[in-house]
Amino acid sequence: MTRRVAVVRGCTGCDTCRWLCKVQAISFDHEGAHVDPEKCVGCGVCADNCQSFAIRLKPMDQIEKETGK
Amino acid sequence: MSFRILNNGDVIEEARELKSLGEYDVVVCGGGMAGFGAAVAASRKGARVLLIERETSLGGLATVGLVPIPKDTPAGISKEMISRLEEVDAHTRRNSDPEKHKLILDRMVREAKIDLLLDTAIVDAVVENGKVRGAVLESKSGRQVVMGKRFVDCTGDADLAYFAGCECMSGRPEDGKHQACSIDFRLGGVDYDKYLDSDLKADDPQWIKLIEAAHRDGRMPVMYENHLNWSVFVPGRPKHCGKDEICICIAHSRNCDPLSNRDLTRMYLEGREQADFWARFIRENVPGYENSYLIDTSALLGVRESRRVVGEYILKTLDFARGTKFDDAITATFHHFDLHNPDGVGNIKWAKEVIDGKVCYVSSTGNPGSLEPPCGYAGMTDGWGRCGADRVFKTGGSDIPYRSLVPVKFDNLLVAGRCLSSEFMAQAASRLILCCVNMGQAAGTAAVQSLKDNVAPRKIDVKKLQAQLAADRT
Repeated sequence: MTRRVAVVRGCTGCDTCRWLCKVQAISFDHEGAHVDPEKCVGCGVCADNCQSFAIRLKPMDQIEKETGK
Repeated sequence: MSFRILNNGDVIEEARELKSLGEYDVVVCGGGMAGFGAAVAASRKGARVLLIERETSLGGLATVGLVPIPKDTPAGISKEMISRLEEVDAHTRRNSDPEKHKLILDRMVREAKIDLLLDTAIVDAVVENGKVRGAVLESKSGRQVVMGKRFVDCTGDADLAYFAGCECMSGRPEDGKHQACSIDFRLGGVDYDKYLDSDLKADDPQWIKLIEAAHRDGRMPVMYENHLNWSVFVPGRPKHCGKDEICICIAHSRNCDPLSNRDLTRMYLEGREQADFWARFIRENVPGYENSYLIDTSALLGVRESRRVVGEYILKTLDFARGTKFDDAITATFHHFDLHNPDGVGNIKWAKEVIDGKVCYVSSTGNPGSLEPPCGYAGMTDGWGRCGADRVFKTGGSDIPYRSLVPVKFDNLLVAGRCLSSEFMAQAASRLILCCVNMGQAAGTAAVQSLKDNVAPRKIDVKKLQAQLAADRT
């Protein structure tokens, strides 16, 4: 089974996910939060605590298909 | 009472005897989040504690100000408070229910056997031989005094410290301007699921493009703000029925002095007008809000920064950006630079600093906020002045040293909360709710330790304080 990682869409930049991420997979830039799929362990703590419901867990193969990688 | 009217119209108030409420071990001035933490900590350590609050409930901006609670650093009393909120469905994600929060604070203060005075303002300090001996109070009972062995100033504005003659800083160093102040408000009748599924939520979550377009085509005559600061649903309400309740921060008043009753009055009036405007604008422009209505506006203005005391250490902007470790750390802040622009619209998440002789626009996370720095996004640096691809941002929290809670000169005074001894931008990163509770817990614990060991707060054994806090925070 493909592993699931967090993906972000609609971030408001509040920082909550960065505080909570145990593996420091989340960084920020001018577009908001980004999750490093290599570091993400798919625990979902970011998605469960995102104030703006901007984070979802997605299967890695689906992300690869969508991004063409 | 006798008064003498001067020729210039001012009035001399003659000296008079003030009724004393007695002497307490620890007097905590201000029952916001820092004062709550300080009073509970001190009382649990066996001190006789009086907590004084000018509003009619505890919690300050977290309750009366309608500010939901970010869960940045839950530890000890702040963690306990969050658990108590969760038990009654009053906290989830970054959202809280201010009404249930008030009641939980009432109960926790009562359980800790703290003596409490609500609806009571601190108006002066009695100082003798480098010590604050008493706080002068005003309330329905008139003017009174309360004496204390140790005082913890959690007024947010450092009122007690200021009245005692403590040196204070206020506003931005170059021009004294303060962060914009906010009136937050709640909207009812929202279909939040519809909003969450909308393209606006996915593609323009801070409504920046929506607001710019509305300003261009005249739907928004005045550019009050260029972004949605935050919006969260209030927990514990019926869900998925099109009747969600949403708390919003978007109204801002600028060019304000939060220490002037004139300016405060202006900001309350302006804030309520803005809330009325935004409620209409949101109803007409944001999906899911078509049937929404304004429930209430906050009864306490969201002042983000006013006076900061000059303490044994002034927390530096770069200390925060670099995550400098301190031997006397008593808590940490995990937040970012969070400046609500004093000059105009926008949220600024960077600080202008000189590093190695070069002007840098410093970020602690890489996110510039809704206003990019003059150097642009790529030119923004990390805490060490590196830009572009060379930036490496700190990970984890930034320490708050005990010395930032100890004002210089005074031998029995501590502070906690947003009036901590800090530079303007370091304060903008250290003012979140749980960080204030944690500072309060440290100050309350330190006050009792200094009393038991019979030394001034600045001379306490900090290792012992840290060990106590660690034990109490497990």
